Amino acid sequence: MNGPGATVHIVDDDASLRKSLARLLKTHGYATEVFENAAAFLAADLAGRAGCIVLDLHMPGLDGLKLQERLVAEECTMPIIFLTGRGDIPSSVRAMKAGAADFLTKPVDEEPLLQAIGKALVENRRRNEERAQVDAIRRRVAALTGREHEVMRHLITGALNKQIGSDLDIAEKTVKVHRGRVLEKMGVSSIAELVRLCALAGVAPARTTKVP
Amino acid sequence: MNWIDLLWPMAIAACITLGVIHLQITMRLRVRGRWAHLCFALSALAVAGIGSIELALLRAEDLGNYRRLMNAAEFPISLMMIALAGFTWFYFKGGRRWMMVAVITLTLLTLAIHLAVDPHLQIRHAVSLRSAETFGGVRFTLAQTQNGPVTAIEMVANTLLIVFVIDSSLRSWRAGHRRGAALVGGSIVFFLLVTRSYAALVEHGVAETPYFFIFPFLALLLAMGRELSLDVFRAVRLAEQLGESERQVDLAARAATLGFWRWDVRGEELWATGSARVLFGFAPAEPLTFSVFMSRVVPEDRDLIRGAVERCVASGEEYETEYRIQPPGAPLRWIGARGRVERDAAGAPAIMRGVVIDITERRQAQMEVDGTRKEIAHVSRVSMMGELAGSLAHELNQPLAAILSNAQAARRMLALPGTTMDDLREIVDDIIKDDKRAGEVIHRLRTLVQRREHMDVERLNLNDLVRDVARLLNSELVARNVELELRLSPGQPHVRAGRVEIQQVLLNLMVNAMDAMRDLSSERRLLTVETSVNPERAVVRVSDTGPGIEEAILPSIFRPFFTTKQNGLGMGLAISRTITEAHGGTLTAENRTGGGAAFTMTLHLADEDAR
Repeated sequence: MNGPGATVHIVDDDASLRKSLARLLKTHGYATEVFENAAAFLAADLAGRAGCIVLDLHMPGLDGLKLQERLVAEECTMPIIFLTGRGDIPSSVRAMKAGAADFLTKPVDEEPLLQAIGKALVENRRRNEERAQVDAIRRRVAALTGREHEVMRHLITGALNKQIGSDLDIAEKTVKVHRGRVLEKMGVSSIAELVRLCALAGVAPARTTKVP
Repeated sequence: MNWIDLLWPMAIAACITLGVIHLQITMRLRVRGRWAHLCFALSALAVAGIGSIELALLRAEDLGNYRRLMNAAEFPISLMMIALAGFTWFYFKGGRRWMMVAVITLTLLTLAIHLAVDPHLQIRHAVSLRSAETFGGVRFTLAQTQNGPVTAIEMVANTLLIVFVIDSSLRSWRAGHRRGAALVGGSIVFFLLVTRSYAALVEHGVAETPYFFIFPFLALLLAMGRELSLDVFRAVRLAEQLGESERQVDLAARAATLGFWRWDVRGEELWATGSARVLFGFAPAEPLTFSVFMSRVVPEDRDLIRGAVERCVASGEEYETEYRIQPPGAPLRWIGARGRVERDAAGAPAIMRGVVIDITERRQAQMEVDGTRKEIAHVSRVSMMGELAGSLAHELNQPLAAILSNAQAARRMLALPGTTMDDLREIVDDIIKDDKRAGEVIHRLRTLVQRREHMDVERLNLNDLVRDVARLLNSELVARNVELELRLSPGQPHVRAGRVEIQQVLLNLMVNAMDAMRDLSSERRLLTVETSVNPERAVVRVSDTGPGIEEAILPSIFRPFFTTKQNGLGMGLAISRTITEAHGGTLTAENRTGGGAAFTMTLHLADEDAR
């Protein structure tokens, strides 16, 4: 049910709680790794790993919300399940807005925890696949020459070869050659497909000066 | 009946009366100078004797009888001489001892020789009798006498007595007692001279009258007696005044429920005024001793009194103590006692004297105040716990969460193949550990929130106390993102204090410190608790990195109802200081030079640690 190498990362300052959670999750077949604080987790540099994070909201030093901010900035794909000792509504709202997978109250029961972890791992897989896809697209984009990149940005605006040629001050024929290379290098057969990949890779369409 | 028959008995009666009165004074009154009264009484009785014999002489008809009476007269005469010498000695309070001894010895010697020698060698030897007539045509017997050699010794004794009296009077005069010296000394000398001279005149036939011995002496007695009586009158007046002032003091003492006592340190005997007896429930005439007094004191307080008495006797410091007594059939009373020791001439403690006062009401009022203070402290503790409720719940949640996960893990493992008993035992051990941890949290909370009647003073390690409170505040510190630094003295400072009370003070100071750092960015929130030992005190210092305390309000922060917090009661620091001072400690506040505030609590070290 979980992918190979998926690990549940437990970050909590309470040793006893870390140990018990890890023990419970192991009985359910999960690989676990425990960290006594946010700094230790960051130091391990696990952003791209498969798995999820069970994170205590209140910890000395860097607290759960701060760690979440940092991980979001690092584009960590592991969803975060927050654990908290108190029903602290403002914190939970903040955490959910920042993309937390779940927000559970201690003492946490087995069932909701397992459900949350299960969901989080599915989400993580999805994110990782997406990430892999995007990485592949970006690699293809990186293989384009400067001119080809330029042409691609015009292509995804839906402009015709003639217009592109005029915009870039090159011959329509040349545009046509570039277009063939772009489609080939990006591994697509239609402009529509190219538009989708560019959207995923974050390639912005060119701003055209001349409206058809 | 002629005037002789009338006057002599009257004079004799007067002398006897005077003598008996002063004999009574001697025996009954424990006044100073009572020996002077005895001598006076003896001389008065001697004069009465002389007068009686003189009366008999005036009526004597044959020579033999006359001679016997003359012989007998030597006894009262000698007694009078000796009594006069004694009177002079005691009345003037000393003088030349050898003179007095000489006068007495010579007088006794004269008497002895007089009795021993042949009659014609005696002092006044009657040779013949004749009848003479005196004033009013009264006839009386008169003897022709001749002086023997013993007369010379008698003269010496007489002269010495006069010299002794003059000498003693002069001393007294110089010492400032002029009136007594002049009157008593003067009259003794004057009348001795007068009687001697007149007797000589009669004996030599110059004056055809009786000796009239008794009258000058009666006058002398009156002069001496007057002075003595003045002393008695003065004593009586003083006694009256004393009685009056005693009554006033007693009245005042009763009004103030104040009693006086005096204790003979070397003996057991204890003396106490009526009001003190009433206070302790002793009957007015009941004999008192130190042990009888101690039997009224409640057993727990007896050592206290013994200690205070010993200190007072040993060092001379004031005796001051408060103890409880249980008078028979009456409720328990609180007594305040004060006193001091008085020493004898050699400097050894002789008596202790002092007062006792009923302080029951004051004690009760104080106990009520204490009760109110405890109530306030309790309310403040509970309200502080209320503020910390969220964190405390979290503190309790941690072990509960661990227990739940462990228990669920165990349940799961029971169903899994390959689970060993050791795996399960490990889990159960962890569950037990966490359960105990939860129990401790609850225990800590309960002791802090419980309403308590008394402060249980025990020997405590201040470092442990700080750690306990830090543990209690752990979640709050985390939730508020405050870093706690404990700098605990390696000296393990021990204090004798109430655990809950000191924890309350520490909690209060630490929560205040956290509040003070509320507006700081989280990485600057540092709370430091430091313990140390200076030679006599254990010190705890709680400091923060907040904005500090405004100088203007620094003197007011320990006042009740003073607060800078929006929802503050303003009781925390006031109670903390009261608690600290009730332990004999101090609690002070200051601003740190590097910014932030610091509160310092000092407490006495437990005795065995004090250096």
